[in-house]
Amino acid sequence: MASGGGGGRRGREREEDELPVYLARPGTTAQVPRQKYGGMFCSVEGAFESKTLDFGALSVGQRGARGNRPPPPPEPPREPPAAAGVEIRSGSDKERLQNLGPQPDKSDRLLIKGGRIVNDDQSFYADLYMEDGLIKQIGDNLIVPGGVKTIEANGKMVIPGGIDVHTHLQMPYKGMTTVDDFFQGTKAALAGGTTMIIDHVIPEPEASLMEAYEKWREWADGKTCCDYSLHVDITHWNDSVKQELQTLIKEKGVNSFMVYMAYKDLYQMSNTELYEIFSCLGDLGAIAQVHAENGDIIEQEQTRMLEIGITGPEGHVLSRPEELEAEAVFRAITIASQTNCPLYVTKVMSKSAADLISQARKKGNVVFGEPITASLGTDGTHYWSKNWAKAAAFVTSPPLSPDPTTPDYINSLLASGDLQLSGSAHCTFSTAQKAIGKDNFTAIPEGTNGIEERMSVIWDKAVATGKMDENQFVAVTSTNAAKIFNLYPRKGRIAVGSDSDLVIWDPDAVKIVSAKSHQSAAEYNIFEGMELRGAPLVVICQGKIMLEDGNLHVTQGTGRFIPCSPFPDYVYKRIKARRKMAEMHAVPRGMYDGPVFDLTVTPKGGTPAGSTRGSPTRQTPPVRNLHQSGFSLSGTQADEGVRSASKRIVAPPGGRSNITSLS
Amino acid sequence: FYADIYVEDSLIKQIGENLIVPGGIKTVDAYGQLVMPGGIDVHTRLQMPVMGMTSADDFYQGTKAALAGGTTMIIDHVFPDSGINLLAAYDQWRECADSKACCDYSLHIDITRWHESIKEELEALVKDKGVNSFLVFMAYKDKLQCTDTQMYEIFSIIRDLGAIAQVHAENGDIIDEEQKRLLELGITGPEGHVLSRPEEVEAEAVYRAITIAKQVNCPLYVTKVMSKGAADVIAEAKRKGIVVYGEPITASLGTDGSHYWSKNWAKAAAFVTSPPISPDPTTPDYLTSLLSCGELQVAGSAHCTFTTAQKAVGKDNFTLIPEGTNGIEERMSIIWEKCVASGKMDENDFVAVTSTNAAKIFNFYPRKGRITVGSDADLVIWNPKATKIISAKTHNLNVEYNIFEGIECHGAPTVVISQGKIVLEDGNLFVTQGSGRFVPRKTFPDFVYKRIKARNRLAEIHGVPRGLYDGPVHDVIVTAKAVAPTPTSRIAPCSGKIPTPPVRNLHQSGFSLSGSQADDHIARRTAQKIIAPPGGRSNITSLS
Repeated sequence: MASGGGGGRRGREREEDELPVYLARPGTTAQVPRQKYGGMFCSVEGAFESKTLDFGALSVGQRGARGNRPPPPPEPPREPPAAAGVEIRSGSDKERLQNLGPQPDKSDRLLIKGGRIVNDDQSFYADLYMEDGLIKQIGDNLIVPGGVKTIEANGKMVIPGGIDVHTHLQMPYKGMTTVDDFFQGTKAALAGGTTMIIDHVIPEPEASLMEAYEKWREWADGKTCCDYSLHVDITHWNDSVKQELQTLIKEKGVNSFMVYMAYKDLYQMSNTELYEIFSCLGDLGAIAQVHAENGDIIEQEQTRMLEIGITGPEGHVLSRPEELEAEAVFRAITIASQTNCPLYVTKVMSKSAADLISQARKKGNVVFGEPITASLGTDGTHYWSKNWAKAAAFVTSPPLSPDPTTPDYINSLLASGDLQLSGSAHCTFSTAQKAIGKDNFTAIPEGTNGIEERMSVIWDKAVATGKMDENQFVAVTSTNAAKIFNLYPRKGRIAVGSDSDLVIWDPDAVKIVSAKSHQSAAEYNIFEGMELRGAPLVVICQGKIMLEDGNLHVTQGTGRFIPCSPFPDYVYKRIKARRKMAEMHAVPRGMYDGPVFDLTVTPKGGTPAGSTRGSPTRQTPPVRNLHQSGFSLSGTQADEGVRSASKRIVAPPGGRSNITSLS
Repeated sequence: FYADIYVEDSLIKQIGENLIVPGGIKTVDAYGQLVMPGGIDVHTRLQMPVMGMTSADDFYQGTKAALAGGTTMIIDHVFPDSGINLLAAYDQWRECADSKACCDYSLHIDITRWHESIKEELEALVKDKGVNSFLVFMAYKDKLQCTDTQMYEIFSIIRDLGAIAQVHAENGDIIDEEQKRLLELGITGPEGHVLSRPEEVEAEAVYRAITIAKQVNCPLYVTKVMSKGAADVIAEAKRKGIVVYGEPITASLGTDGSHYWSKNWAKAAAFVTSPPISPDPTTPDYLTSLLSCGELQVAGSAHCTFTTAQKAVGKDNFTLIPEGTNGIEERMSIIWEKCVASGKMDENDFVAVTSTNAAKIFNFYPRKGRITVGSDADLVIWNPKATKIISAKTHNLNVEYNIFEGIECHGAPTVVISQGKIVLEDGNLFVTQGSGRFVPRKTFPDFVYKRIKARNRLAEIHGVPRGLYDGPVHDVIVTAKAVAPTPTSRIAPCSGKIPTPPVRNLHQSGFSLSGSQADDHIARRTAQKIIAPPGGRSNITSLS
């Protein structure tokens, strides 16, 4: 339901990357109230239905007969012959000429025939027609203009393009930059079936968030080949940062901010700061992300490791045991639940952290967990590799769990919905860069690859093994991400009006991951040698074919920035309801006017002597009025005037007011 | 079992039937009632100074109440004012207690402030003063609170000394924020106390303390387990094999926090303690179950009483209400009533949680906590049929309020023997001020440290012996600044890498030399040095 927000933003921001008018068509009238709210409240009942469930109404043909509910039995001829690939053919030559004439971009109009469309809720066979980077029609026997390029999917799955929610492309670190820049990185993303990334902006501590944001925009706009959006990391906290948050959310299309609980004295936030940041983000309708590790303890452990003489990459994982990750997750959840702010835990690397998230979800906390390609696909035993370069390639924080059953466990939680979405945390350094820490593991730059392998790893580990079905696969690779970050249904769904970011997925393809063949610029691939079932056959991004027959056709700088509007429905509906419920009320009571211990008289003297005791208190038990409220007056007390609706009770000196007896 | 017991010189001399004893002794006829070791209250704060006040029960009054309730030993917390040397505070407490206590006592010490010399102070206390447990606070921001780093260091010291780390587990940072928020909302009464300290905050701190203790391999003892969440975290950690003990207190076992909303300010204020008593009325039942099944091990009272006048210091601001509830006298009866009378535990478990476990953890077993030849003659003759209604009118405390007011307890001590003397008989107390002795405690209690020691041996960490990495190293200094904003520096080194993958020697160790590399044979630390030609790459970077 991000659409409304997107629409509203377009109105005010005049993004020159025009946001498509995909909503205007199905429900122009419904659009108006959304704009009125400035994109903040974007829920429109029925927006969902008008996209997908009513698509028959928009297509011409036997629409009445089609219910669209269950995957309708396809016509027999559409069943793919065994081992059929995907054919792409253009229209007739004449038509192609016409097509090329006015608009040289040949793949502007695209028809996918005979695909099995997979959304997060259902799968069905239908044809898809795209134009101007939008999905225009879904259905059978579509009436399309001539001269369109046609892809014969032969019953292969057509899924929404993947959204990688966590990348660090072109990230500056200690004067270096990660080897994959926005071009290289997004190229790798497209090669793996991911058509949108959300990158992290990391401002230097003390630097302005706005400036960092602009810098990242500049880098990304010039280089990305797929759509992107940005998270901003909060690396320091003060009032001016608070101001910047507001601007970023209201004007710049950022709705998620990450805070670090690790990296002591650099990025780390104290509990108090976390509390303030979370309350602030909760008010602004953004999503709080955390890098969850206890930085204080890590620092202690690091010192200890170095003292013992452990300097290799195994020190990295030894100094960051998974308990510290779990502890920080627990703390973050507690603070977020106190401040009623939605929490998003990045990089879930260990069983215990994943357990805590699912436990918190069962208690009703609004918390999301993001495992990454590395934690889903491999484990941390490689830290003990004899080959330094190999061991160093696995260094990331939180570290990969050395427990080899972890990936399986996390895949299960992803399949069951306890974890909701997956990122890659793609942040690659060359071996030479990693080697800065060759004598001290704390200096090894942290990050692993995964942007390209993400979809295939999840397919292989979760779908091919039967843990999840294709719909859940779509949910965890794109739909949930789009919902959480308020990009839905523009992204993460195949529906009329959505962006035409599509992947034709071949579940049977087998690919061996290797640094030799990957798109990333790093020499090492942590998934080296892994045989993965499931790979993209065709990747379509912004309505253009980016990958076919293993060949990439990408153009640097075609990626657009997609603004994310605040208050995503998927996340904030519950938060808002709770906010209404959570008001606290004081107990209306009479003023307490019994004797008050005089602090000033005995400020120091009472400490060791014990003389303050025996004097007034003990001897005679007071007159007791059982089962009376504290308002009653009784016994030997003198009444005075009324103050603030309650009676004032003054006890004679040394005596005692009845208010002290039990009610 | 049934037997006769002969007591002399405050020690138990003989146990058995038809004992041969000298003439002229006093005989207590137990008539088949239960004779059990006297209770040990592991958490009291008698005569504690707070904000210039002193808690209403001093050592005399407090221990008198303890004896009246069947508790024959207390372990009090030394609470040094910030700025005071721990040793000085210890001496101060010893002085007060020696002159006043009527039963044996021992001391925990609270670490209220982190400073450099703390290690020496702790060492002195452990070695010379017979203290083996120290409490750190995770709450009370800017006053007593310890950071995670400090806790890590304190726990390491404590582990090396063989002592026990206790924590007051609450997240002080969050509480501080919540308090501000509530005061802004205009909530100033005692209900603000519990609203600003939700039980998640307690559970969070328990979890954190356990994590740190696990890292340091230090035994952890969580004082005042007040909520289900915290108790669950402890129980779970125990199941994972972490050495952690949980201490519920009389208040959390006997009553719940719904009284914070009482219309009577004085009543509501009487319940104020930290962590607060959980407002969930099913909590006491849950905690008693965990206590019965051994997930929680010992019961304290956290007895720290203030008169209503003293509590009233916070009448307009709940954050100023001095914290503490009573419970020293009621502890045994409440546990009997809630656990034994309800069938959750048997009388042996009852002895375990009220005295034996405490004696084991704090290392004075079997001198206390057991009836055996040679043990101290601290005995209680318990009458499970007696019925008592708790009331401020009849209790032995100095406060006007009893948070257990009106609770009917089945089970009460009929005779209490402390140091071989009868101090309670037929409801009459015969106590002598100052007769209590300090019980010094040794370090490395077996009950706790056997496992810790075994783990210490196991936990040694070894580095991976590897060849030195001598492949190309990214030069940080040269490109220190230039790289950041301009993407130019990237393309240069990387573009060369993609098209031509390096020579790969699969399944070779990183020590091998291969390809076009020049060897110097400069042996350094038993590893070979491999120098890559500029722009080329060492084989060490390929996968092994």
